[in-house]
Amino acid sequence: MSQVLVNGVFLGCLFAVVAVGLTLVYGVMEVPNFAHAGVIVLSAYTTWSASAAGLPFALAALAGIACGALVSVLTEVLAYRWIIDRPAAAPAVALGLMLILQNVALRLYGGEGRSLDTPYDRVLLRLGGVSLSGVKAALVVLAVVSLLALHLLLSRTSLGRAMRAVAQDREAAAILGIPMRRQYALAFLIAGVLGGVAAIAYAPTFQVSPYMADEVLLSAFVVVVLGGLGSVWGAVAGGLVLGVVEGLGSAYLSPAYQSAFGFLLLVSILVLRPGGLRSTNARRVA
Amino acid sequence: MLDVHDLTITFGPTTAVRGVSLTAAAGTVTGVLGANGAGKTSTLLGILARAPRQSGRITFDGADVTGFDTGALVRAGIALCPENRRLFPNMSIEDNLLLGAYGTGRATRRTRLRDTYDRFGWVATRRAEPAGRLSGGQQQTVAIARALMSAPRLLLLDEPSSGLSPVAVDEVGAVLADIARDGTALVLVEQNVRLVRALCATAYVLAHGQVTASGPVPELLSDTAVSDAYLGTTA
Amino acid sequence: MRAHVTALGGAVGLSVLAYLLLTGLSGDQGQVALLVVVWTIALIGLNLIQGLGGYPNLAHAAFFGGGAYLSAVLLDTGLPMTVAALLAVAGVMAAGLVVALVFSRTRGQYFAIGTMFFTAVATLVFTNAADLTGGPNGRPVALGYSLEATVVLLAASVGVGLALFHWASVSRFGDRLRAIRADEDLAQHVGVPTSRVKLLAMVCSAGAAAWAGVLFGQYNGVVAPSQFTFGQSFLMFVALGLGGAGRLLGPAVGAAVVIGLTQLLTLGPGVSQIVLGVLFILVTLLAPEGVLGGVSALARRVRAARTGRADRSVRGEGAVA
Repeated sequence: MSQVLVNGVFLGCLFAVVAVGLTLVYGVMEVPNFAHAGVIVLSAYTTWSASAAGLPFALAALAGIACGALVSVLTEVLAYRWIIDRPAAAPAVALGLMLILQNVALRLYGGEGRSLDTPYDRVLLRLGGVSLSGVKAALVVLAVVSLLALHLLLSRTSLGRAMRAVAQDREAAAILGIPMRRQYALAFLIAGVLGGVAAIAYAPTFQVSPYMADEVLLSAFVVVVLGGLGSVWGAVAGGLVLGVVEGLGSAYLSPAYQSAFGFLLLVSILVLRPGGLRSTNARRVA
Repeated sequence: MLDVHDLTITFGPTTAVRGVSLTAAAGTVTGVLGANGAGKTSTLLGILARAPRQSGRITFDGADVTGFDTGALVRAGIALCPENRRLFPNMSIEDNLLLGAYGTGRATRRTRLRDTYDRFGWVATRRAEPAGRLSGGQQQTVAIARALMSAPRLLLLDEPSSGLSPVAVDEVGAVLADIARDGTALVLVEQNVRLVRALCATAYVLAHGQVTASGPVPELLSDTAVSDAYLGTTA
Repeated sequence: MRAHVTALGGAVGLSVLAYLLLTGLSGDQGQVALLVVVWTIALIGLNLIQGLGGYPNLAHAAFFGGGAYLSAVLLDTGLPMTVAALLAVAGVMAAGLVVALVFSRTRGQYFAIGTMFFTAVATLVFTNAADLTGGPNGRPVALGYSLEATVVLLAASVGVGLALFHWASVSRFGDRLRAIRADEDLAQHVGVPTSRVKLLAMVCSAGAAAWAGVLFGQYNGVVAPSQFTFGQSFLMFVALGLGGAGRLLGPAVGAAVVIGLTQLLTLGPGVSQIVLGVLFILVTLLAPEGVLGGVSALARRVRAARTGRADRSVRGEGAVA
């Protein structure tokens, strides 16, 4: 049982990292960023090709994260920025971007899955009666580190404060002279970095392919709804909850239908609280 | 100090402000009066580049700031305390205040924060509370304090008395009088005649997006132009 | 009156065109023609809830696949074709009702996410319930209708579907849907029975998709989960938006553009989808009402310029001095 829980926590950390990126962007720009799947995919491929080209893993990972950040900011600058006043057009643009990014990856690297080797592939930790592969442990560590860093950014820095403000009342933030475009770009930058972290953290477990992020993205959206669109801590809590739920369902009921449990959770939330678990009138970040 | 010349603001097919000109001298309190929908808020927003201007020249302290964006205007010394206060409800009072000084250095922010706490003692004791939990009058004070954090030389205020009890209005009035005494110029959009009478030396009356009257406050208020504007009869 | 005649004319014309294309083309081109026709039928349904009603519905591929799979399963039990078809459509419409009820209080982004997830789960079922669905490789469909009959049905469905959509669009139902798209809260305030209207639109759109799925299964003889993923739902969403959401011929234009691009452009894997993505973003930014919307806006401007010029000549301005 505890092994199942540990696996659930691992899954939850993955969901949390991806969901936080989604919810940040949503809080600041009201955009359901489907394109994030493409960001994760391109990050993973960058890490893979850097690693295949001979770079030490740490550098390859950094390259992947940098790629994620760059692609994410590009989606903002080239596309999302122009529909800032038309939130209804956001799903359409998001889908268009996802098509582009996934198929760019397909074009560059082909559709076959590639495996990503990491230095900690063969590590197996044993604590109590529970074992955790090196890859999964690395994910948990990376997730905790990056989320803590984000928390510090949001709560202690001027930029982070501004981002929280923009999510709560965009116009009031603008009136104070906060440069909006920079805030949008920053939200996407952070989301891209988190996407890159997610990519290198779980690419070794699943194969690197243009479609590797689809299921995770779906679950991440459930998390975002669970935690409340725009709430970072909601995304973290929701991620862990969903990870455990899916883990339990997968272990005790049916592994093939893992994401279906997430769907059931989503449906129950939406039926009971159409605005998400922690919905308030103001959108919140952190 | 502030010279607005021939300002026109349209939102799509609607013209909210039509050729409005007004001036506010340094160290004065200037009122902007008018009924709902007269274009008062749009005028303030237009000055701060938060509304699309079709025409108009804005001069501040002798310099032409027409092309400045909001950030540049705030840095130049103009601040706006918006209608309905618009504090960030789920952020602490301190965070709200710090945001008022966005873009300045950390040391400057801290100094100004300390000055704010010196001036408004009660705010200091509640600084960690979420701003949404304050009463209307308290929120208004914090909103003014937040605007002051950018050390403006001109403070625009959009109906600071709206939704407040008479006692709270008096408190806000006292705060504003204090600020004016310190030398900051104020442009006050208001519907509360008592507040206007107490604070403003001169005022403008807007109706249907245009200036229909202006001048020293005592004369203006006894003039039919003002009651016309409020009752909606054409000037 | 003229609008009705034009619409009916368009419906009949497209029907005939569909028939000609389906009977005239073969091989790869024939496959493209089939997909365009089938998608047109499905998208006519989507045009109700998404086009007129403004709800970003990403569940459509699930209903499409549901119709195909359900009819295949029912045919196996020995039911006559028409009965199986009708039951399949009814079954999917019931599913549409459930989905609509579950998401009846959700809107906008949440609705998109919820329906997207529904399709993902449907795909999971299609892939994993191997006894019924044949698993990831799909399953054959017993051919209840002859090829000629299927082609006639396909062509006729285009015409009938368009006519029905036109009728719905000009009726009070269409007005109510458009009111919901413009401002749902206001519509509710004013007394529009929004929940009922949305439910009806969703059920009808599911029915259209299911019928398209049944015919698709009949023509193709085989169905597989890869044709009914949430990626396909996205493409349907994109197709309708590209063509012109809410417009009568939007489904046809959209289907033609998307299928044409994905099937005919052989510039290498994925390039057509990249083009599609770019096109979709450009259309969303520049011509938010799709190709048809852009065309009609252009036509309006041309007409305005022409009448302007006519006015001036009447008034004597611009005349040679």
